Amino acid sequence: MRRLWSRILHILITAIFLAFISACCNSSNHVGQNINSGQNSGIIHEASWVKANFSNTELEIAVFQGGYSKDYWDSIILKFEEAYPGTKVHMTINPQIGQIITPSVVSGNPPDFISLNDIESSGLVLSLIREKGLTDLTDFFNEKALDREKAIKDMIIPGVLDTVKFSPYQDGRIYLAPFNYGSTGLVYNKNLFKKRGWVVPNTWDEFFALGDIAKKEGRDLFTYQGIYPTYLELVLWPAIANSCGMDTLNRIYNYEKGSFENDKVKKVLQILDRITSQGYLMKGTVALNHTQAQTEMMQGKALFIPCSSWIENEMKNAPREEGFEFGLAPVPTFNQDDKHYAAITCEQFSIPAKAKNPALAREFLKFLYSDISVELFADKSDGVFALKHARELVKYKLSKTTDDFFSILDDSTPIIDNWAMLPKNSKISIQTEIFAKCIPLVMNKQMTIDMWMNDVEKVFAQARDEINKSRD
Amino acid sequence: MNKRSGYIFAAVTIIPGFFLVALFLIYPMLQMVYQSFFDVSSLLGNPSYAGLDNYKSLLTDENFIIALKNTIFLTLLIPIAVPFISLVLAVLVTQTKLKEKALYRVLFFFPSVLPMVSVGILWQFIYHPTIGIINSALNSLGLEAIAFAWLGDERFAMWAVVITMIWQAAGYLMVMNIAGIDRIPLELYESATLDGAGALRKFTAVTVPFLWEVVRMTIVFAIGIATNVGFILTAVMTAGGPGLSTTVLLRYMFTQAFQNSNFGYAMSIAVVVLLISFVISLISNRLTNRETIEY
Repeated sequence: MRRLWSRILHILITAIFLAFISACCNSSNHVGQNINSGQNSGIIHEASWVKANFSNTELEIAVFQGGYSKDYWDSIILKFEEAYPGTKVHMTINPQIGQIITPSVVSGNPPDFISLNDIESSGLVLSLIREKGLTDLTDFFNEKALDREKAIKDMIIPGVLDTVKFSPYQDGRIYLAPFNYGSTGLVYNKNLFKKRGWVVPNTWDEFFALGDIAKKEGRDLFTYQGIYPTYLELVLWPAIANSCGMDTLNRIYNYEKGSFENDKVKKVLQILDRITSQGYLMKGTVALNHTQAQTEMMQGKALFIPCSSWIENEMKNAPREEGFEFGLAPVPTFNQDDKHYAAITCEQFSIPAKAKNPALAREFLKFLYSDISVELFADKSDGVFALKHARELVKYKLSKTTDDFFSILDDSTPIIDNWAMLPKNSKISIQTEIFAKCIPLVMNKQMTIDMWMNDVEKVFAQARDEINKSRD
Repeated sequence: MNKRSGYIFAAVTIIPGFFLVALFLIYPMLQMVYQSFFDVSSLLGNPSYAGLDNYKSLLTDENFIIALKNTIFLTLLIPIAVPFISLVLAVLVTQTKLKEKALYRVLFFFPSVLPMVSVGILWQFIYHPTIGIINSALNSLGLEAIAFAWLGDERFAMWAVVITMIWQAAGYLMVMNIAGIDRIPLELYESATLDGAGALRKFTAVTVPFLWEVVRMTIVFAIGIATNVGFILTAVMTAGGPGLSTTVLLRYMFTQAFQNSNFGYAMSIAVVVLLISFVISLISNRLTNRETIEY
């Protein structure tokens, strides 16, 4: 009898356990469905996609192989070929892709689709922009997405398509398509802050107050990628947007007179001046390259360094303080209730005007914006497409650091570089003039803030002059 | 071998080399000069003839003037410093009684087999403001006041690069000098010793005059090192900064070509680099031209 009761008890326990497991599974499915259901509104399943037919089924694509995994491209090509039976995608992928395809582009035989930024060392995409050698994608962005009941342009992160990066001639026409995006801010050691009970500074006053506290235990407040001072634009533009508003920032991007030399911009530049003159800058920063400065920060010598989510991969083998955990703080503001701004980075796709198969290239681009591709990109590369719904869609696939880094965009307004295009033949490099030429001197106390503003205004005057002459 | 087959042999051996030089050196150089007279603002469009416009623009380009000064500084200093140091090293490892001569030969030559980028990174760590060997040594000697951020300070950055260039190139030119010294008859040194000449006198009266042709060659090599190695090392160690204090013409050319898409203008900068190298080679040839001592 006892054995019988014992068996019944075993069966009951097992049943309860199985029921519990099953409930858990159901509930986790439910969560998954919830995430998807949040995204599913208006989603069209692959079987119902409206696919065009293509007489030319061969597609040549050229892809820059950067920090993201090649696996994504291999997989998405397979998926595309499955979704469009009979098509064949030929991919050339290389870190030097610009140089590799330049001869074929020059000889009028470009690939059908290019994944490469305008600011890279071969100058190919910049040349294509200057020569109006890219396909106008405005109509493409007005078309409906493959898997959603909405126009593609309505899926892209707001404001991105209007920038010079994607509408280079600022005539309302779009010539480049956004790929992925990344948030930027001040990278810090989350675990250290947790252990010390420090709070991420909201304002510049809190920022410097924290610097005084950290100083007592031998840590400096701030460092940056010394010999590459352009990293400081990740701080400068959000701070200017906060101090002066987006209008002033847009005036700066258009080289307007007095846009850089004024009291509000000066207030921002004085932050950098205070960092160096009051001893908040890590010793020797100006002489370090990006990995050296980042290593020093990770070893606890400085609390903050401006960077983006790529730092985790870039520094994966670097020595670090015990328990180091990446965190990203937004650039502080001047007042407690001010809105935060965050510079975002955004990579580009393009279709050359002389592509042999532009129709299939557009379809491929459309496919890249589908959920299949967005999820695959997160899976394989831990990256996020520059689509409004992308982050939410792949949230559960992203690494903790990436997801954490993106979270600063929840409470920050994104800013993307929007410099007005200078005419052909212009010798001006804005990045060199604003950052490379001036910041090291300011940080070494060999140049005053007023001299810096004055120098930038001179360059802006030259830029305006060149633009006006090109219009005449 | 008769005369005719001698000519054929000479032609067969010379023509491939000449063809390669013409294809990969002379033709691109002529193209460079040709394109410098055109407005080539992209890799794709049709270039339009610009006459001397690119060269006129150079004269008013502030950044070009800074890069020009930096390049002239390197092309004057390196062809003097590197051949001299390499000659001294060659004499030290051939004519002294040091026991470790063989080891020194290897050590001095070693930097020339390292990839240039590795040399730059290595010296970046040597000059590192906190963990670098130089500042660590200065700090341990209580000289914190002069432990500067060498690569981040306008006053020292170019000198720091110059030291790296000398370290990298001197060993290679030393080997050329050693080969020359080995050909100097020992009897000459013996006679000098009998005449009561000391080491310095033997160096100035025997070694230098008999090695003069090799020295002249090392000067020409050093001019090439000043332009090419200077470009690579400044790119790795300082990115042309701080400010533009280590920006050399080739770096500026690269920026104009690939960041600003001004290919024609970049070619005019390259022509200036070519001219500087040519003029300095000519000057050095004139200054060092003296009767060769045959032996």
